[in-house]
Amino acid sequence: MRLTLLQMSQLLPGLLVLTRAVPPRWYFKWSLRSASMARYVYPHARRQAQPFLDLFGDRFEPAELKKRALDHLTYRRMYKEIALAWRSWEDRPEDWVSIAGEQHLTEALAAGKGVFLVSGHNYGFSRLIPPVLARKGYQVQRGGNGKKPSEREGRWGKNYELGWHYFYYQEGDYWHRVKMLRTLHRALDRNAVIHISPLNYRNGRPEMAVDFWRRKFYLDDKWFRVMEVCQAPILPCFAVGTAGGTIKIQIHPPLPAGREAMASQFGKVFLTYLQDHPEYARFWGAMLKERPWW
Amino acid sequence: MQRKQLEEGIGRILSKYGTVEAGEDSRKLVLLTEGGAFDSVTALEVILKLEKQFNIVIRDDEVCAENLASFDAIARFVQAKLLNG
Repeated sequence: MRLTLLQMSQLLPGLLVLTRAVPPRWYFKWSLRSASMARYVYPHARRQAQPFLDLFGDRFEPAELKKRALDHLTYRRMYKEIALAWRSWEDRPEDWVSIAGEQHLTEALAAGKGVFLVSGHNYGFSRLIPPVLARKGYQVQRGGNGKKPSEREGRWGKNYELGWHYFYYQEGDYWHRVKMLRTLHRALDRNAVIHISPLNYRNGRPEMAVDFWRRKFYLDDKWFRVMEVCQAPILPCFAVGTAGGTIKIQIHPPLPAGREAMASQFGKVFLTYLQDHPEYARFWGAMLKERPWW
Repeated sequence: MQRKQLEEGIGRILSKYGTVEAGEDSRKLVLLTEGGAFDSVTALEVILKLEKQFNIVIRDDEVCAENLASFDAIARFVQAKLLNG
């Protein structure tokens, strides 16, 4: 079993002190180096990079493809540890996380109807968005399914104390889902920020399609219906890495009203990220295997 | 509010989704359930409209099949809310 410094720091309090002393940028740069080595040492790392290489083999020049595949491996390693990174460096997010476009959020909240922040599913470091915004004083909740609530909450540490938490729906429990939507609506009434990342599907309604690199996938119609019913402003929000070893959260201007218009515009924003940074997506394997959703 | 008036109001809300027809059978039909005529997002819409139209607040613990699954259940529930506050 391989343990990284961040993982070990959660087990040994002495190491946590040491980890906190390491500048996060150094750690993330080290992740890039270790990803480069891991592909030689661990078959698992090679397997993780394979879907990316299969899908983009003829899109990038060989040198560019190699660099992007390594970035993809680095991202996958960093993503796994992002909750631990937060627990280690939550007291100085300014050292490793920046926010751009925050004025869109403050302007939208000024209307008093709450705000939806929407990220691409399984893309980038979107899980980092609620704690970072909560630390800045926003009232944030994140929606998701309830497969492992205790694990997710535990990994992120003192999220309730920081003013953000997950609200869940349980698959197959109709009334639980309705109650969750009710909770979400009440939170918007209190001018909260709701962060969601709608699923991507293999099939769907044509209006929900995102046309990417010879393939199509479909956005989750249901979440866009929820947002239409709630009538709160909807801002696309993505978190990706930078060359300097930091993470940038970008908040975009509000989407237009109407389910189809909002899905179309969100699809365009998501597509821009996928085209510029395909290495920050974790669904290439699922897409190639034609799973129903990812 | 008269029961008939109340039922007309509920009928108007539900008819937007094209599933409520006249007759005793349809009034007992379970609309809001897994695999029923209304999915969970529609259920949220119905709840919000009931609150607005009848000026009531539906608490989280009242969001359940007993109160909201069918036309009859909704009518009974809203009437009780209006009577008891």
